[in-house]
Amino acid sequence: MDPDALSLEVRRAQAGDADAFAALYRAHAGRVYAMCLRLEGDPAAAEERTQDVFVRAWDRLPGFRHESAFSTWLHRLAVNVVLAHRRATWRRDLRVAVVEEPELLESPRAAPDPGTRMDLDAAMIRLPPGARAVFVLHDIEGYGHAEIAEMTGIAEGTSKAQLFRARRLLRRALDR
Amino acid sequence: MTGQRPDDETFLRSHLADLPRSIDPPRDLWPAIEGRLAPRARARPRIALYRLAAAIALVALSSAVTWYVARRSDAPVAVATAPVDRAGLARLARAGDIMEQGLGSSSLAPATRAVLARNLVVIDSAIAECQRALDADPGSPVLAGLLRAAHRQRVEFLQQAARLPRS
Repeated sequence: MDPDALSLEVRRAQAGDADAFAALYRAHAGRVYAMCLRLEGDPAAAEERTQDVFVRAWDRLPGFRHESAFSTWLHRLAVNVVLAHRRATWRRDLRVAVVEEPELLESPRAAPDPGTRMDLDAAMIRLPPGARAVFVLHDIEGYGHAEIAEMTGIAEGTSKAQLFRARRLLRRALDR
Repeated sequence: MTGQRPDDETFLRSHLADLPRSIDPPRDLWPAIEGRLAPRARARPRIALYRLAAAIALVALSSAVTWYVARRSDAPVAVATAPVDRAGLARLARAGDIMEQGLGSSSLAPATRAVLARNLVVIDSAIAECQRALDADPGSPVLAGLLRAAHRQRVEFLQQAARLPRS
């Protein structure tokens, strides 16, 4: 969707046009679902969060003031929706002492099929939730450690340590 | 010769580059989403706003007709000859932006806000159309005049909206 058409659809959706909002959903569902899937690590949960994101976006859209791109606004909203849902779990997981835990990637449930090379998405799903959250937000979504700390309620240093841990575990999983 | 192993970040960079930024959901989620959307208030819009919307539509139509005639007709058409005042256009656009931002934080009723948004769509479409035409023909005083008229419509519309009573 070109920027002019997108801007018109956003304004129409702000005015209550559900068809315009459907067009916005079609244009952005893939990116939102991808982020939800990587943060949640589970397709069914990712579907639920994607629905939550667009319902929340519809509710919040009248307050969108076009000061940033709609996609940026929607993406930040999506992160907040997922984080709010997972906050209790992640806070606990994010704050645990950061140690090397290669066995988490070596459990029988986590092992890939013999002869199958694990890709990054498959390896990410096997990460501990806290490390996965920081890796997705930093290395995939492009947020800085300060923003991640603000969004998740952890210290910047913890965010850096979790990222280090995630990268180390992913490398071990992919480098076999 | 022994190669040095790259660090973890460098190692993962190529994997990250291959990662799809978008993944389609396994099923269409729109029907479920649509069923959860809260209906927006659709109270009867104010008569003054209807009149203003009609005026905007009329101006947009007459502007389009004038532009079409000016482009297509072999007959001489009375056109403004003043040079294109780009700074003035930019000032008008900026004034409209500031007013629109002010409205965004005001406490207008949802139904009124919806009418405003719909009419801004009409005006913004006219502005975008005039701007595209002017980009294609930068020296045209006719197109510059049309663009200025569209920006003025936006500012006047927003001025009227700013005078509406708050909820």
